[in-house]
Amino acid sequence: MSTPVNLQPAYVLHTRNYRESSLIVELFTCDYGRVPAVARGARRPKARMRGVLQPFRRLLVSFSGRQAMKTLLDAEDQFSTGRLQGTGLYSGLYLNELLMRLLKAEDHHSTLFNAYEHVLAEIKSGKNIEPLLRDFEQYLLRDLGYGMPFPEQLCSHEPTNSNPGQFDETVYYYSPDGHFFLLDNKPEAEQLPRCFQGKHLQAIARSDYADREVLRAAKRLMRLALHPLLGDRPLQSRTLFKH
Amino acid sequence: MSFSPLIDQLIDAFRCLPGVGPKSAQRMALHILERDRQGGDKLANTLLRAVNEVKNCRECRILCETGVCNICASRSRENSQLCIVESPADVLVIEQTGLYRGRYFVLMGHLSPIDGIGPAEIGVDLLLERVDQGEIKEIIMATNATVEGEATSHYIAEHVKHLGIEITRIAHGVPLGGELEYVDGSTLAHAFAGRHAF
Repeated sequence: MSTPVNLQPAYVLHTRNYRESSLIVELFTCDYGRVPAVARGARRPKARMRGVLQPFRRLLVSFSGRQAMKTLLDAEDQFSTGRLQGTGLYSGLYLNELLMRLLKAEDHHSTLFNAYEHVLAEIKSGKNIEPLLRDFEQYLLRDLGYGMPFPEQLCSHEPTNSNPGQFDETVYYYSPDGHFFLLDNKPEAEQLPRCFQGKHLQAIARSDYADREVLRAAKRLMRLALHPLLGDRPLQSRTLFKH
Repeated sequence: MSFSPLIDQLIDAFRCLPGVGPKSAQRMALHILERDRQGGDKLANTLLRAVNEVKNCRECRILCETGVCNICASRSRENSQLCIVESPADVLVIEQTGLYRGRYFVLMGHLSPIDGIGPAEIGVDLLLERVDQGEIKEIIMATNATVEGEATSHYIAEHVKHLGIEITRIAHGVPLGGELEYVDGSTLAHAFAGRHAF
């Protein structure tokens, strides 16, 4: 990428100080995925980009460079309404940490970009955050090529009035390599943390989180699915949610 | 060509400073050795003493060598107000305004999950201990107007609100002498949201 990229929609995932007055900015762009770039002089008192390079704001960025680390030429704020507050802010930081940890630099992810934009807008509008996060996690896993292989019999059977509780009693074991197995017997104690009720999985596959139990199961399932990708270093933003 | 090992070591040691590359480090090392040995002696002694003796203040976490810093030890300051800032430099600018007569608490950073900085690293436990002592009536959040600063303020506010203390946040908006035309949209939105009766 030697020709400059102009006015690319982007969000800032993270910034860190670089030398006396510059910043290294991790951008999540629409067409180029995650792009690290140096914003020269961005910390000077009168720098134009100073207030602009903040997370959760839709920017139009221009950058150039042949190396992995680009040079940020310009960043404009596309003034977006609303801002993240309170728990929404923690959730935003959680999303950014997930993307920072899981996206490789310059991997194309434009549908994920749209999903990220959508989830930020929904959080800003004050919707219930948890279902939004679970949906985004599912989306992210799919986009990275680790989609949930939900058992076919669950997905092909819509619950109907004639058999509302068809999968009430079935229990599935989610193996460490990411597959579901139908358990014939009662699960053993050490299997329990990786066991899920069929009806819950069915609801998760449909993104139907009306039931608190489903939401709790979805959280557990996503943690199990993300764990191998994140490695041993836990996500720090999770500590913010603890009280 | 390289210098003798000790000089190389000195050059390398200077490079731990921010913004000092190989060339500047070499210039500094040669300056001290060629022209200012006395200055070098003073630098070495002071540096060693400072590194050994300067610690965080027991009360507010600011850097000082006396155990408890001047502001915390002062009797003329009000105990009812506590201002929470991110860095010692912030204390300095607030002190320069001369308006604030309360106490401080310095977080020495802000919450930044991606950098691995959580509540424990910014001393929230110590802060809560201090607030629990009961003298404080108002907590003024003076963290930076960044996403991380905002998250930090919110986290602290959430953890002290059950004590019934008044929690305030410093205002954000149009700078003095600033023209609206040149103020960025987000700041202006803040300024509008935080408008007050004339």
